[in-house]
Amino acid sequence: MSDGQYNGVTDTTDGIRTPRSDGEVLLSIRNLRTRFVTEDGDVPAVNGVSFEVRRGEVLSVVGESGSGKSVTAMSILGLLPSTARIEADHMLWRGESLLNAGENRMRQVRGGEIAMIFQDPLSALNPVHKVGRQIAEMILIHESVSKKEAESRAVDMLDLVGIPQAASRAGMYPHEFSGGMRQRAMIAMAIACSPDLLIADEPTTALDVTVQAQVLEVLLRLKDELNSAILLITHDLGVVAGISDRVMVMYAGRQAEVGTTDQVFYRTRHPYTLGLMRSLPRLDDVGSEPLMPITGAPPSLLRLPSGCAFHPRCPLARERCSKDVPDLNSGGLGHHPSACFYADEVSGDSAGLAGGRA
Amino acid sequence: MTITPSSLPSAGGVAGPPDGPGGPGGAGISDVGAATSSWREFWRRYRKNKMAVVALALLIVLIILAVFADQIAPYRFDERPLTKTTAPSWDHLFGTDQIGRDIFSRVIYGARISLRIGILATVISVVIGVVAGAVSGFFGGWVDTIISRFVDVFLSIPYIVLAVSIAAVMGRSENTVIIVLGFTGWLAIQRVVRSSFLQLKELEFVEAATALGYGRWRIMFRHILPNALQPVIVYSAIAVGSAILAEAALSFLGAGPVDPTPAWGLMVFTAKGRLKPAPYELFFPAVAIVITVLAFLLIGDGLRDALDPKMKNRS
Repeated sequence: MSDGQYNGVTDTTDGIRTPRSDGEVLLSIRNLRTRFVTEDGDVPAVNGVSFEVRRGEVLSVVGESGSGKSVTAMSILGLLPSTARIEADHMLWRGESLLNAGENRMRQVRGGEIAMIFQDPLSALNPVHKVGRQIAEMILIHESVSKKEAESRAVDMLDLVGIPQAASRAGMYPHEFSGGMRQRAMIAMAIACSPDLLIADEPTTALDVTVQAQVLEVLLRLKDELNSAILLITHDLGVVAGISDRVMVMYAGRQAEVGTTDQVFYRTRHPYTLGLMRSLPRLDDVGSEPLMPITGAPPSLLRLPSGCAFHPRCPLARERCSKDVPDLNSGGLGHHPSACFYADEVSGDSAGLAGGRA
Repeated sequence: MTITPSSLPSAGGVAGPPDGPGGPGGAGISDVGAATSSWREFWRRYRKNKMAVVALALLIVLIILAVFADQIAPYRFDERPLTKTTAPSWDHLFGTDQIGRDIFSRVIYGARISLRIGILATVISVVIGVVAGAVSGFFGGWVDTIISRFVDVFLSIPYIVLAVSIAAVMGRSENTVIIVLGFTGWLAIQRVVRSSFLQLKELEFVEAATALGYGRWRIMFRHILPNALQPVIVYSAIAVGSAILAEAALSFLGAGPVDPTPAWGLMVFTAKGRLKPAPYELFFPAVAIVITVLAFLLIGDGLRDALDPKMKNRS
């Protein structure tokens, strides 16, 4: 992959384009704004986010807690509490607007066409139902098949995600599964109806490091088998480097930087991305360079700093940063999109991490 | 509740943590591979509470007595083998009452009435209470406000007053007692179920179920409710006991069934004036009430131990 693919992209959809321009556009979001109405005022959790997901790709959304990555995903599926207000120029699922879809249509989409995998598989599985039955129920809801067929397909699904002795495992309860197996069971449930898009919200965070790789491998394999796409939400840059085609970095509800994985890791164009990577231990130079945490704390969404929300923590910040709000075009043309006025000054290769790419 | 995430077992490990609390009836199963029966597991834990086992045996005896009263009792409940009260003897084990009816037979028939009242009243309370609690806990908002205020109002009226007034309108009978107890008993259950739902609906598996496209009612009754049933089951056992006790109280107050119905409370009531000449008239039905109520309370205790391992060794 080279960033040449981005050359010449000049309209406002910058960074929304995917490198796999051959894949069907599954999801297209333009200017998504999600805010929560609270007693202290509106909280803009997502503020003007635009992106596309194409069939066959893995798009990672990276950011600290509160950066709006999960809210973005929840907005797509309409899973937010009633205090949330979702607005967008458009939010198209295979050309159909999800913004004004009725509850019945949304129920078909959820699970049937867009499925979600949650962070903690033990709490995401119902403790009182057998695993096989939970997967079968999922199939029964979305497809008109017999109960028996649904049950045998549930076993197939468990087999597909690599659970040994799937038939007998299907008769067990979630608490009888190990952490990695639970997450696989959750994945089996999510893919049971062959969804086109899989949203994985921190799918490996609750797992043992050794199990993480296995689960990611399962996810990738299934994506290829089902010819679907994955929207991966994570704060783990190691995971991002390992499996994603493209990366979208979010900060305080806005997009900071969008590009192919190589672009974001090797030719970083946003100081926040750089900070994220510097604060991670690198395998290839143990001890030579101390970790550099990003100073300060993420801002309160209720009282966002003026201008660029990152400027109080940014080493490159100068006067303009506290006045004007940068957008993805601010980094200048001819490169992958970055919401930083001084993107050219961000020193390029920062990613020893990417050396660990699979 | 039992949904706490337990620590992660090592990769590829198969067994659930033996100490990890799981769903009702399904926790702590450590043998892997074979289909594990949650009933067997449930019984294994229930058995540990010896008093509860004795109580269960007692309940079985009571049920047999109730069902086969016609065969077991030497006389019918309204039959008058004698014409006056007599002390216990081999012919009449518990003696006879003021008008010469065999008390032993009447106590046996009384089991039928008490169990019927206790169980039916509890079934009514549980059905109404669970639905009302589920709806108000799950939907919240104005639905919850209406239901919960309604419950508050009725909880603040002493049920005896309510019962006596209803009995005055409907007439005194067994069915009146069942209806009165059923329609007052659900109030407490609504509160229990509501609070469970408030807790459970915030959990991730509910969110996950929504994200997978499950409908609201399905989530409510198939996914949340089974997780909320455990306290209800325990409460129900105790509620049957309380209903039997309440039946006795209502009969005693003259708001229950009428003679010749062999309700235990009614028998105590009729006997109370003649405690000195014929104490056995009061003693045996009273003991029957105590034993039955105690059995249900102990069973409730055992159920709690068996369903919620965390509660064990407390109380």
